[in-house]
Amino acid sequence: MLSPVARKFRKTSLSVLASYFVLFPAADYLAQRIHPAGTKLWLLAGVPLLPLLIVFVLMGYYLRDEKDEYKRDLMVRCLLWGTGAGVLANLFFGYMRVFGWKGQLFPFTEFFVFMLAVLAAKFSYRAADRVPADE
Amino acid sequence: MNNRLRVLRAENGWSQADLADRLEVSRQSVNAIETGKYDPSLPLAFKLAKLFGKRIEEIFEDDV
Repeated sequence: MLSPVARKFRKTSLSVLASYFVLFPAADYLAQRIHPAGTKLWLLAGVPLLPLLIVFVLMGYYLRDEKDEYKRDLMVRCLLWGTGAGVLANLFFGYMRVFGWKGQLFPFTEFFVFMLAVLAAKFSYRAADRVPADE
Repeated sequence: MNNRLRVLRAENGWSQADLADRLEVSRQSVNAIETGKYDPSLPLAFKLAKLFGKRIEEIFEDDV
């Protein structure tokens, strides 16, 4: 069962993430129209990042406010798995390029790797920590 | 770390959910502590000790 803090985090972060599906197409549309360069390009590329940035901040608040230390510990472990997998994917494809690979990655590959690793860790912990019927 | 949580809980006639309510944590947490998958922080250990009227070392013992 979710704690009140976890429920609040889930609700707020899902609402914030929903805005990504407006901001990204809008930024993409604008980029196709004005072909930005220099500072404008940097700023436009930062626009779709805003919801993700806010979700990371919300995650920080969740970790600060969650009273159930075991759940907090599980969340930190899941985030570490995600971060580790994301960094490794980034490095792996970096080395591929250094060693002459000319291919192109699917956009946001590292982010998807991060999310998949977080979810995989979450489900693994959930399966391993299955709570038996109460006595 | 070994602990006597299950025994103490049974002596008080509490379910895991009862203990979780008293500690303001999830039943998942109580189960993880009881089965030794998770060692509680010092504040939570003190809370447990106070709840059972015992000293921390009467509930938890080092398994070394």
